[in-house]
Amino acid sequence: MGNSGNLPNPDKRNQTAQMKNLLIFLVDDDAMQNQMLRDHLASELDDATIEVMETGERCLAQLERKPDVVVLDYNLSSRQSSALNGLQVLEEIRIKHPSAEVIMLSGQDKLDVAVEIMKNGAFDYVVKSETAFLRVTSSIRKVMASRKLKRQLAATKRLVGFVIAGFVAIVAFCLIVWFFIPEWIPERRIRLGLD
Amino acid sequence: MVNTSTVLQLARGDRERAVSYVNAFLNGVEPQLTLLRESEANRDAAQIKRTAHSLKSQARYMGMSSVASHLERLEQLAAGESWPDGLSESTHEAIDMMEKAIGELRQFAES
Repeated sequence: MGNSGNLPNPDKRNQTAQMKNLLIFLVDDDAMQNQMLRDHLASELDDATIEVMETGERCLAQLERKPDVVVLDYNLSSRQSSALNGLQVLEEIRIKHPSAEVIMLSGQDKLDVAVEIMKNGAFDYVVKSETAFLRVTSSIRKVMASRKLKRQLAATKRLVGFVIAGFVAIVAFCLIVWFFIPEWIPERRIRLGLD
Repeated sequence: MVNTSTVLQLARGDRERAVSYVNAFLNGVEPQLTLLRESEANRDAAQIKRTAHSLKSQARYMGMSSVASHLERLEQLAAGESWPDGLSESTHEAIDMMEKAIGELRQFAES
């Protein structure tokens, strides 16, 4: 009695398997935000590799590493007005690495901003507040769950394709035998006077 | 001025982690306050807007909701093309509020 607290949590174990080899880019020009969110995600997502970048330009230059998730600040040009903003970076990611899911972080709790971001293909929009880190973590888990479902669907499609192909092959074989090798079938042999 | 339960919630109840977040904030905030002072002295509204925006999110994370609300108003006030009335006063008020909140956060980190 009383040692159940030491047992591995099956939910946590499943999440861990799900998060294996997950590559996350955190892109924000606020070093404090990056440090805190990185710390939070590292403790929540086992085996996730988290890379911090302070500019959108650096994120785009690193896209060839094919991140699974990009957590992107909307207002990336807050310190350097000539820097690419979050929306511009999002558009580039959608073109260059469309399979990456983008979670946009913003200090602005405005509906029109959220709509614009989602229209441009972001997976989620999170306002920087005391619940932001929990929401980002939850969003990343949704991304992974959605990918797992897609993988399962693709595997099911492959299996169904294999079964259909097998069935077609058997029917084709039977027809070939029936029409072209009648001597293999006793009834046909009799009917055709081969016996 | 500071609701430390916010930063504790952010750190999922881990006080040590919460203190590390507070220290990260304290290490980075002074240059931003200096920038705010200089921007006010130089009447650079665009820089005030950018700094207020950046500080606003940090203030929210640190449980400084009244400071964050003031910084949001400051950001909106500084968004215009020219130097609007009341921007100097509002900037000074934001700096005063930040300094008080920083004092409270230092006490939290040291206690």
